[in-house]
Amino acid sequence: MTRFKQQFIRVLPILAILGPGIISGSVDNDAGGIATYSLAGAQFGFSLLWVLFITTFALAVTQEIGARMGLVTGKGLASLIREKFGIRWTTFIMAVLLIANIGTIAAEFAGIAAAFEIFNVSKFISIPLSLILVFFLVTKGSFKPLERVFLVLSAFYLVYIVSAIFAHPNWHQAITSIVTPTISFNKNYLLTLVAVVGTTITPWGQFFIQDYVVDKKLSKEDLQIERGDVFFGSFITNFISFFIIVACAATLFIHHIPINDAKDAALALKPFAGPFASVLFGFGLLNASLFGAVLVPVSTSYVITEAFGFESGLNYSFKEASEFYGLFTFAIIAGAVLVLLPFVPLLSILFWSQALDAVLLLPILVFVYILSNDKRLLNGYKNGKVINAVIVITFLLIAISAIAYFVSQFIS
Amino acid sequence: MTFVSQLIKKPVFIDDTKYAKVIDFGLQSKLQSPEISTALLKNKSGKFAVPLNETSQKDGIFYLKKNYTSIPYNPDDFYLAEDLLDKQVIDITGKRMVRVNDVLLKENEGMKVTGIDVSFAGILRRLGFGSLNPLKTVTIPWSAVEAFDYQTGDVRVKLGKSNLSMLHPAEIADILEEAGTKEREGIVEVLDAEIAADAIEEANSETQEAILEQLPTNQLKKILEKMQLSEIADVANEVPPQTVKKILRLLSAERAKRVEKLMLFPDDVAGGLMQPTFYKVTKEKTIGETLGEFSKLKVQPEAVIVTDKENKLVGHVHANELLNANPSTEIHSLITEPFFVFEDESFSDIFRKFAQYNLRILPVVDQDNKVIGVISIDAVIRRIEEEEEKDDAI
Repeated sequence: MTRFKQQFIRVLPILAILGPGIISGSVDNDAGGIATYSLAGAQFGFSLLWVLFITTFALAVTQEIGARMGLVTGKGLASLIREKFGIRWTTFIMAVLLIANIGTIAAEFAGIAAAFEIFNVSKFISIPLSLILVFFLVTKGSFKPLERVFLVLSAFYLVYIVSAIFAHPNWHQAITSIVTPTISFNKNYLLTLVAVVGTTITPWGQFFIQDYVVDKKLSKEDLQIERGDVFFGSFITNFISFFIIVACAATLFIHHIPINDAKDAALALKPFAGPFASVLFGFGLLNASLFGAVLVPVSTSYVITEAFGFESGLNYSFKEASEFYGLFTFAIIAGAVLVLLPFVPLLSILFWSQALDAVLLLPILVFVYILSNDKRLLNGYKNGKVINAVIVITFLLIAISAIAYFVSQFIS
Repeated sequence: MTFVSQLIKKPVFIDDTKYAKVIDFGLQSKLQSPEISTALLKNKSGKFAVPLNETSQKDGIFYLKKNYTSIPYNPDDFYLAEDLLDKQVIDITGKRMVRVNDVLLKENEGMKVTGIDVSFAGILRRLGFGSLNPLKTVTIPWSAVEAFDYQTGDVRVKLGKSNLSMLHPAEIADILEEAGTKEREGIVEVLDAEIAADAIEEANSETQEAILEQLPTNQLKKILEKMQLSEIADVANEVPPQTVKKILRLLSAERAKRVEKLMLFPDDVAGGLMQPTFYKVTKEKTIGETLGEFSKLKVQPEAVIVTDKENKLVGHVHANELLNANPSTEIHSLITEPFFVFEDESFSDIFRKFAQYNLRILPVVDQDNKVIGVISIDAVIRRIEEEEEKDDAI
């Protein structure tokens, strides 16, 4: 074997495996993500940056667990829950997941609608059209070649880095804010904190990463590479989130401009794009939202049909896998209808769905914790102490903030 | 008809006092018969098993004999809730993996497992909507089910031989693609090396890699012996270097050398698609002589490659053409036009030649026109199939 060939063979598996963590990482910064981080930066400046510090570890750890459980067992999270906890708990978790995912899908459609509103297109036109587009992208199997297009266009996020730099924020303050927790009992602050966690670590992302690894049939030998992928993906996700918050803090927060719709959020790109900020923001938001609007309903359908033992997958026909396609269709229609409800502002859907995601993540974290500590299931691959500590901290962060929010609701 | 879900959690009485509850039912080790032998009970002091024939049932309550025999837990036993309920099993008649929603029992003088419920009706029944359940129960008879041990993934072999060998290797490959890690290993373990090798060859490349990386050495060796060299080379190109080394070490020196040679070709050119072993004769041989040699071969090749003394290609002749020809003529007289590709020709060229000339095999030659391998139509179809699968995945 030539030397070159040997080198090449060594690199190949790395190229093949690199991906799932980065994909699910980049989708984490979807429509809901952009909205939540923009609101966090515009309302509270740098004071929520410390949460990103924690969620970076939390995201890395939860994704690593998903990847590891997938590698070792060759089964998705839904299968593992079904096999260990039986049908009742499975039904409960699937109901939780369905609610969370319909919220997320609604957020994706709200993102699409908000992007179109920048170009003065009403949601009553953009939503039905995008609903049809998503349906055909998925069912006609034309999504795969587009996946790369979506990923490449995700480079849009880099705009935030440039914009943040051009806005000349106080970097010293921004960096120190990352490691200085700010505790406030302002109920809006608490709610935004919960939403920031919920937009980073999502119920659907937890199922997605494990299914992806199982689908690719990665084995224990690939674990180190896969860990590198999810850690890198988690870091990139929050690296970008950091700049979104900083850009919004440096443009909107210091000038006391509240965000009421997408046009306001687009102002954060002004230092870089000037008069084109709105257009650029619109396209970036549209790309992120469409990608999510395809990926989240398909993933929902996969997981639920897997749990209940129906045929699942896009390589089956409508007739062979009617439950799979039925669920998919139901999920996108439900999400779209929520966005079309009158008197519900798009921004509220974008933001509230992320807070809901965080709360619904709590029961899922419990199951993930128990399964990933099961010695008989994972043999030598169960969680270490640090990983368990990060899950517990994440759980407590969401739970305490959510409870504090409800308490402050009653006090005021 | 009774379902196991209706019996689990039922109370167990000794005389008139509640003593425990039923949590599982055990079948004797190795599933020699579908007869339930033990009931697993649980009370404050823990789990314990009792022989089923020391219990009786009346109005949804189990009664246990006062001086019952306690049986120690035997990991070889197969438990219905632990190993079967909610798990995936292989449906031999449906040729796929299915999830067990409930287990069917037949009660007369003891209890017998008769089948599994795979329908949504089973799920509704277990969630407590049994009475207002409009759906039809779909069951699979126990004889058509291959179950796994939940802990080890071993296939629970019923009465000696596994039914899995009744399936076509391509169907086994589909099941291997769907199975979890332990179960996949369990399936390969119960198959004969020959069938296992065929099934692995039919599986998608991700599954092939996973199996070759996962199998214990002695078993891997047996299966590698039965696999085609071009398939081994394809897989070896995708696995980590240490697995490649392991695979090469397990092959005979001769085969290892050939695999290494094949690995130098990318798998989308002729050299990567071909089989380096083929049956050849020199062009002066008569058809009678060729047929004579042919009958001595263990595996009859589909076609004979005809070369001159320097191993340069003259053409190829299909086995059935030999049978219809005059035995005393020289074999080259049957060849009108030689079909071939060079080792570095691309897949689209190869595919075009197969389609245009309706070929079943195609010889591969080097620059000097010497034959170095043969591409079969199977290899072409498999390659197209792999492409399709790549497009399907999200």
